[in-house]
Amino acid sequence: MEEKDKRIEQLQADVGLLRGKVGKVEGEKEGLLECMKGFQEVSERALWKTRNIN
Amino acid sequence: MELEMRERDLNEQIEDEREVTTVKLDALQAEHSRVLGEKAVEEARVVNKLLEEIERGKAREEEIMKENLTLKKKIDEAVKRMVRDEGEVIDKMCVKNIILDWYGKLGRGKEKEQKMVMEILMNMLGFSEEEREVVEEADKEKGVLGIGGGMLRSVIAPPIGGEVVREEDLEGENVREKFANFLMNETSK
Repeated sequence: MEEKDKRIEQLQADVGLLRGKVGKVEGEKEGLLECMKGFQEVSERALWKTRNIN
Repeated sequence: MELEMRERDLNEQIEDEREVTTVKLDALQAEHSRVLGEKAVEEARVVNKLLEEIERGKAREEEIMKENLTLKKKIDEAVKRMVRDEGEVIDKMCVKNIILDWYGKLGRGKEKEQKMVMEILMNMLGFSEEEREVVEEADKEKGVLGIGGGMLRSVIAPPIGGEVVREEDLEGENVREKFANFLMNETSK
């Protein structure tokens, strides 16, 4: 295999690895956003409850 | 003589074929160089494209990681706030029930139960050991937890002037009903 072909193969492997990393952090972000959404819902419910009690 | 002519012809033929072959070889070499050149250009294009994609991917990864860090901080703050709020907020119903319970334990022979209600109240309000000692000390001296409610009663109970309302005089089957009737009577005066 030529040197250039080896380099291209290596770069393609790097791109694949990076895509995996980006996918991982994107998944993490999605989870964190869901978590934030949950907190917002809880705090909105608590606010509603407090308003109704008061 | 004839042989010489034949040899000359053959030599000319060989020379012609050599020329043709040389031309063809040159053309082939030129084609080969062109193909190699195109391949080199294509490879360079692919390498550049991959390098660009790597750069973009790294930038995207870094950007999302920063966003995730911000989100994690926000969630941490929200968790802390929730824990703090849960620790500081007391359920209104719970306080109401404790007061009703406190009034239900008025009367001689119920000092122990009244003390238990006070214990619950102190636990709920998160009294420290020192604060508990202050209450117990005051109880020994002035009867905070003693009969009739002592100091606590003077704090949580409204001042009742004139006639004394006895628990057994109030209508109702349980303490809650009696307390409700007591309030109704007091407000209707």
